[in-house]
Amino acid sequence: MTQLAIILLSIIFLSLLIGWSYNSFIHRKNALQYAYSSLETMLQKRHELLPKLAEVVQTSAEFEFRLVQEATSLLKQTNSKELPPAAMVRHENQIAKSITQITSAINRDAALRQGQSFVHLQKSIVEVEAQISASRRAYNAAVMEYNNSIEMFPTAVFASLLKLQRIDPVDLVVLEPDYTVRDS
Amino acid sequence: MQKPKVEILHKVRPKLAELERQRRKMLEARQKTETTAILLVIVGLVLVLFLGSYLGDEGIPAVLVGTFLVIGVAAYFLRMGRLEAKGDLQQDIGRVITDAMGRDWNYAAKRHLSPSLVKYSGLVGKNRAIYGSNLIQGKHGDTQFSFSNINISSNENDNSDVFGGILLAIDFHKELKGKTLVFPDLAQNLLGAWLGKRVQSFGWQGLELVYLEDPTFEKAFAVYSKDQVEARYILTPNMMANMLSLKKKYGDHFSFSFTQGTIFIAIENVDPFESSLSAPILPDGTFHHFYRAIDLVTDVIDTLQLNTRIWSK
Repeated sequence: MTQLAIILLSIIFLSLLIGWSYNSFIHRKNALQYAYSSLETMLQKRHELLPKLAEVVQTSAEFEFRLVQEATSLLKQTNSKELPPAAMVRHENQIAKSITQITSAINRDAALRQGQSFVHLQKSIVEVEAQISASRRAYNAAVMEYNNSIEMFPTAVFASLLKLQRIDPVDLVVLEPDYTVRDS
Repeated sequence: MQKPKVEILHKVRPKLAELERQRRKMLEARQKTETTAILLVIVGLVLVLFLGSYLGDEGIPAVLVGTFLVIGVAAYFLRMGRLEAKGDLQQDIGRVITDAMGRDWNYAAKRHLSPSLVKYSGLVGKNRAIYGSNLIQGKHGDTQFSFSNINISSNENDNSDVFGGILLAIDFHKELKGKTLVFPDLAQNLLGAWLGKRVQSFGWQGLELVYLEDPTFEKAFAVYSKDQVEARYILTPNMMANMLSLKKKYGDHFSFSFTQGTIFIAIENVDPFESSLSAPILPDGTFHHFYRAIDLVTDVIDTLQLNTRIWSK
């Protein structure tokens, strides 16, 4: 009778442990997906800045338009939402580099730099980049939680049974536009 | 506390000197009233006792009632006189100081941040009784703010405060959808990192725990938010460093609430800025208390860099 009780209790305990571990994986996986989709949304906002930058430079006869064309073609060539995280990061970093080149070129042109539309746009860039930075940090925090759960005992045992693997954090470049920050 | 700026002292000194004369007169008047009241009580008690001896044993209840009545009336008039004098003086001193700070500044001795605003901050529990005084509204740089002494007790019938200090509401220029709260990290300090985090992971008022990557900040504060991304949008590495600077400078007195358009900061265990009729206004009296509160609030705004805006070159 005692042996039966011990066996039954062990089965209940193991079932609870498996259930808790499984739910914990699902919770972290969903958190990871949510964080990744937030990151994608913020990156989409960065993409939407490109047509606005094109509008800013269109009045200038001397601007290097190839910079805008290169950036636009980068966007058209590949949909970063269809790429795996590592490739998405490489692609987005290229777009970030293109935007930096365009804003640097604008800053070299006094007329464009002082135009109201660029002043407003710079504020938008700062805002969007702050949101991308926050989303990147939230995603990487979710990655760390997920990796901890699949590497730490006892959840690591079930993670190996379910063949769950580590995920790398994203090393996404966040733009630091050519602006000044000062007290009002 | 920094020394008051010379121009502020220059502006307030003549007006506060006039108020100082008023204070002395009021103090003398109060002392006279107190002396008169004590004399009246003595005379009243003698009369009551005389009446008691005249009535004999049957007069004992009348003597007791008479005694309480005489003392009660005297105490009531003394207290009312004190409160009225102090209230007027407090209002006048506060007005002089806030006028010197700038034309956007206002002061009201008997008002405080509204209870609905205090509850909206999320920094206090529900069903609390909220009272306070000394509302100051102003502008530091481009940033508008208001603050007051606030005391919070568990309920209307309980006099013991669960919070006593200053509550500050400052304009915040980030667009937010939800609420993010930052408290001193008591659980992890009391229970240890692992158990403390488990306890905190249950959340706070429907908000979930946010675990940030800065270990020093994590050790100092516990963060709860509706949205993990928004919490990080507010708590940038720069903002976290600034909040740690405040903690280093003033200790564990700060709790923060970031909401749409406003940051609320509860600063606990700060001496209330009250006037006292028996203390001189200048140099270390009421003016010092007022200026210390104003200095603290402007220092918080500067340390958190809430005046910083982004400008094009």
